[in-house]
Amino acid sequence: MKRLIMILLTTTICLVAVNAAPLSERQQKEIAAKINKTASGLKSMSCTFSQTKHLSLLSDKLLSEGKMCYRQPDRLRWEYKTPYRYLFIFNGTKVYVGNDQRKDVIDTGSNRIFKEVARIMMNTVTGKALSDISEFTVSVSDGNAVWIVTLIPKKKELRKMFAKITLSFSKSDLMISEINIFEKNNDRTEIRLKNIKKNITLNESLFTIPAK
Amino acid sequence: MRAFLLFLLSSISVLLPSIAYSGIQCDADRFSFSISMPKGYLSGVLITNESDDSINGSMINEFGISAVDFTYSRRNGKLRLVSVISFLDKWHIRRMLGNDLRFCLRILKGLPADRKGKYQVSTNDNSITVVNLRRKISYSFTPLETTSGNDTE
Repeated sequence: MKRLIMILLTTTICLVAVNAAPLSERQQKEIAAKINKTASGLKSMSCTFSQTKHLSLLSDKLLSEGKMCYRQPDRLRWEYKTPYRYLFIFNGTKVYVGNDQRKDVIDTGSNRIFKEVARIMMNTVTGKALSDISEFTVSVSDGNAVWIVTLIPKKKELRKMFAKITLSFSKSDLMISEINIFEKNNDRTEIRLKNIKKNITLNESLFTIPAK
Repeated sequence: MRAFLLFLLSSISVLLPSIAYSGIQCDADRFSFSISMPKGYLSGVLITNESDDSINGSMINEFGISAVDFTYSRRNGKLRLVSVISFLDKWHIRRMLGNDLRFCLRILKGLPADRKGKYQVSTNDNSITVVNLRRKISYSFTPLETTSGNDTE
């Protein structure tokens, strides 16, 4: 009976214990500074990603996979390959959104969702969001193999959309490996970055906005 | 002791469904959608999930950010907006969006649609476009074809 209780207790603890260990304020600042330093040295990167959108109302998940390329200062190519083909190209103030049926070029000045999303995506995939203290309250915790950075939006506009964003950085090279976006409606988007290549040559044509 | 074991077992049984969820098969219908307004534009994916008495739907932009969640009651034919993205979350927009989505959903699901005089419905290939004639807002829906296999876990 004691053994059974031990097994049940261990199972329960394993299932419940998902919180990362807290760090002192000084440690948090040191780690954030290191991640910032790595981010500022990041001229370009490419990776594959898998994205899981957890839909709370439907109790459903939407899985997507694709490829991402980034080049300083404001070029991002975000390409979904499965289950649907979608291509986003962020180039300065222009965003291209294209699929098999429709192709649009959006000016981020006139589309608030894209403006915010474009900025957040670029700043989170590179880790620059940590230095933006006017936008987020930043805290860092220890998640075993990764540093988990939690960003809580400060601005009213962002606070209405997102409850928080968590970023996981590998302890070995301080590169981002996972992004979790927690929305106000209890939906969550989890993006896992894989096969990351840093500071590689990326052709400008990858970021060229195609003609409609 | 028995009570303690029961407590532990119930804790596990509460936690396990969320973990075991990945095996559930989903019957959701998926459409790409776009909403063109005189002063703006919104596009993405509409996912619906039907049960005997309701249809739940989530409209998310292509990046995965939720724009609108709604639930439609088959019993009374009413649509309730569960959540609306902040910049659209104004009472007059909610009222219009609720009415328009109710009509669009009835068209998409082949349910009897009322207030036809207020809307213009057209089809092109497999796309359906509903125009709110008074507000000049156009809603387009196209069933999504996946590029490979199932997209739900």
